[in-house]
Amino acid sequence: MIYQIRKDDFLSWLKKQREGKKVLVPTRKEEGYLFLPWVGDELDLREYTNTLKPVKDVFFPQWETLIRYRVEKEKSGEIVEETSRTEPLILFGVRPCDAKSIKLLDNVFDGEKYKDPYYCQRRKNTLIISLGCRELGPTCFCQNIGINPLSSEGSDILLVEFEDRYLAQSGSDTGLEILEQAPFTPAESKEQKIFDELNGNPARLNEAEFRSLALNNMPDFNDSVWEKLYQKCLNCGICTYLCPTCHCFDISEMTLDSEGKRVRSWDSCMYSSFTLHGSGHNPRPTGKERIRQRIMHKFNYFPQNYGVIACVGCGRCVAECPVNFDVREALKLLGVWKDDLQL
Amino acid sequence: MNAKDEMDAKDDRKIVAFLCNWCSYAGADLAGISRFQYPPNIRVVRVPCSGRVDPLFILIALKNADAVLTSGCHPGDCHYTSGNLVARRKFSLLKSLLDFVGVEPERVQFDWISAAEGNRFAARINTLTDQVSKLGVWDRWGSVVDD
Amino acid sequence: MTDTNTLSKIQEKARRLLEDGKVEVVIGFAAGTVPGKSTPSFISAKEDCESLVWDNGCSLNLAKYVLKEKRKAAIIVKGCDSRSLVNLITENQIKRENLYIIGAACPLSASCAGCQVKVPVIYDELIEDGSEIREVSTIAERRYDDVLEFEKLSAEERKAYVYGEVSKCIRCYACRNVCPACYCKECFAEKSLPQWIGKTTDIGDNLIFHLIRALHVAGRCVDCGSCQRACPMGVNLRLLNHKLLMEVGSLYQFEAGLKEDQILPLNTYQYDDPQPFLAKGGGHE
Repeated sequence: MIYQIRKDDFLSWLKKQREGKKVLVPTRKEEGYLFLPWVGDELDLREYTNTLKPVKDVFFPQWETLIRYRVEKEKSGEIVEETSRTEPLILFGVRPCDAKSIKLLDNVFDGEKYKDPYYCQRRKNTLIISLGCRELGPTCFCQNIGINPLSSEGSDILLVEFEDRYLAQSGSDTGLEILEQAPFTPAESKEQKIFDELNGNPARLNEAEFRSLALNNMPDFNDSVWEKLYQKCLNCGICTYLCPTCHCFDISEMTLDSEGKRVRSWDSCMYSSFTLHGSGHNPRPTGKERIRQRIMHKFNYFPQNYGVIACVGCGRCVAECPVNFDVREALKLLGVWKDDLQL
Repeated sequence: MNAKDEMDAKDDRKIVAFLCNWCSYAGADLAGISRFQYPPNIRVVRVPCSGRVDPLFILIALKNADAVLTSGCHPGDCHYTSGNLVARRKFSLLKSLLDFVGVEPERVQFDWISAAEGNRFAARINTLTDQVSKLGVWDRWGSVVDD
Repeated sequence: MTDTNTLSKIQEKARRLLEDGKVEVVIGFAAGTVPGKSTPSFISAKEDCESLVWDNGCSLNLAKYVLKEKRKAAIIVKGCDSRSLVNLITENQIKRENLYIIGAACPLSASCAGCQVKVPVIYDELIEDGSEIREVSTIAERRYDDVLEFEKLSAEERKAYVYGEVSKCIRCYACRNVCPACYCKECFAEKSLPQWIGKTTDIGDNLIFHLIRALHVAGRCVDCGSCQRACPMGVNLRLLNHKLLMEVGSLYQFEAGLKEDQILPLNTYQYDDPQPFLAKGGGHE
C-alpha cells in the first residue's frame, strides 16, 4: 500500500514533530552532509547523496559513558549514575542503504543472544524516515550487491520524491500507523503504478546470489591473494569509522582519584592495537591480516552468523579512502564480485 | 591578616609543577628549609631533568589542573650537560603553539631555577599563583562543558 | 600539467629497472577508481609499467611506503616525497643504497600554496620536463598567509576556531598514517600503559592528539599536505603544521628535508637559542 503527501505538507508535519521530539536532518556543512538537529529552517538537499558519517552513530555513538562510579576508602565501590538517554528522536532523510545497515546492526545489538540496553533504548525511541534514491552517487554500489535503493527495509517510513509530492511506504507498524493518518493520504492507483515503476529496476543482482558468491568463492585464509591486496592500505580507520555496519568497540576506564567512568568507544580492526595482546603478541601483525579480517568479517563471517552480508554498498569507504583502496576492486580480485559488473 | 590566612590558597586552583631533580626541586627544598612562604596551590612532580618533560605531560596535566610550571637548571648548568638545552627547543615550540590556539600565556609557564634560588622559587610561585587566580575559569580542554 | 612525455619517460625508466633486475618493485601511481584520485601501485612485472600514471591525482606522499618495503625498490617521487625521503634517510629509517629514486616535477595542477620545492631534491634519475630547478640549499622565504591571518584574531576567536576544527575529528588516525614523518611503532595515542589520552572524541582528547601530532612532526614536516587531504572530516590540520614550520624557520633557520647532511632542529641545540617561552623576569636576563 502506497501513501502520498505534498512536500510542503510533509515539512509542516515534520516541523510540528519538533514539539517533544528531536528531529535530525541531513545538514550541509563545509565537509559534507551530517545529521544535525533541525531548527526548522529550509532543508537544503540539492546535492545530497548521503551523509558523510553513517547514521549508526545515532544508535551506537562513537563513544558513550556506560556507567559512572565512585570508590572510597574502606567502602565497596558504588555506581553513581547509570546513564540513559531516552530522548525521542526522528531521523529524516536516511538513505535506504543506511536504514538497511541499522537492520544489520540489530542482529548484533538487539539479537537473540545479546541485547544492548543502550542501543535498544535509542532504537525504540527513534523513528526512521528514509528518503529513497532516485539517483545514485558516484561511489554507490548498493545495486551491485543486491540492495534496492528504494527499499523500505529498516525504515519506519520510506519516502520517494515524485514531482511536488513524496510517495510513502511503511516499513514498520509504527510507520504504517503514521501513514494511515492525515496529512498522509492513500495514493491513487496512478501513483501506485509510478511507485512500482520506479521500483521496477531495483537490484542488478539479488542479495542471495551475492551472498552465495561471497560464501562460496572467498579464497582460502592463507591464499596468496591477500598478500597482493593489502600493500597500499595504510591501516587508518576511515573505512571502519565511516562504515554504516562496522560495529567493533572497546571499553575503557577513565578514572581520576576516587571517581571514574566506563566508556565505550568505537574501535577499528585496521589498527594494530586492536588485537594486541597483553603479552605483546599480536595475532594480526601486519596489514595483510587486518584487511583480510575486514573483508572476511563483512562478506563471510557475518553472513555465516546472521545470514546476511554486512555491507550495504553506500560507498563511503571507497569515496573517502586516502589511498583509494576500493572494496569493489578487492572483491573482484577475490573472485566475489561478478565480472560483468562495471566498476 | 595572620600568617595562616596568607598561606591559604588564593582559591582552589591547582598548579602542577614539573621540577628537575638537580636544580629546581632542590630550589623548592631550599625555599622550604628557609621558610620562605608560598601558596599551597602548587603540586610538585619531580622529574630527573627538564629534558624528561614531554609536551604531552603538560597538556595532560592541564586536563585536571589550571596551570603548569616547568622548571629546570639554568642553561649551562644541566646535570646531564644538555638536557635543558634540548628541552628548551621543545618548550619554545609548545609555547608558541599553545599561544597560537588561544591558551592564555600565563597558564603554561617555564623557568630556570637553581638549587640556590630558594627565595626566587617562593617568589615565582607567588606571582604564578597570583597570575593564575586572575585568569578566567579554565575549561580543561573543553571537558568542563562536556557531558 | 599531465605531460605524456614525462609519463612515458617514467614508465620507460621503471621498465628498464625491472628488466635489468636493479629493483624488484617500483612504487608509483596507477589510475584510481574515484575521479581525481590516483592510487599507489606496486609494480613488479615489467609489462605492468604501462599502468603507471603521473597526473593530478598523485597527491599522496609515497615515501610512507618505503618504510615497510622489504624488497629492493624504486620509487617515483615529486618534490615533497623526496624531502620526506631525505628525512627518513637522515633519521636512519631507510637506507639510501636500497632505494632507486626516480624524480619528476610535481604533477598537481593546483599545487600547494607557497610550495617552493616542486622538483625533487634527491634522486638517482630526474625526469626533466623543463621545470625550473630551484636552488634549495637556502631557506625558502616562505610566507604562511593562513597563519598570519589567523594570528590577527583574538585569543578567544582562535581557541573557538581550533576547538571547532578538532571537534570534527573522528580519530581515524588517517592524518597520522599517511604521514611519512609518523613512523613510531606504537603511537602515544594508542598506548595503554599508561593510557595518555582517552579513546573518546571529546574536544580534550582530540585537541591533545592534534597538538601533540603537530609537535611530533615539528622540524620534520615537509608540508606535503597528505594529512589534510586524507582527513575525511575536513579538519584544518595544516594550520597547526604551518605555525610550527614558521616557528622552526624563524627560531632555528631550518626547513626539513632539503639537505642530506641536515641535523634536525629538535635533535640539537645552541647555547644561545632564543627563549621566547620565558616569562618576563625569568631565567638570567
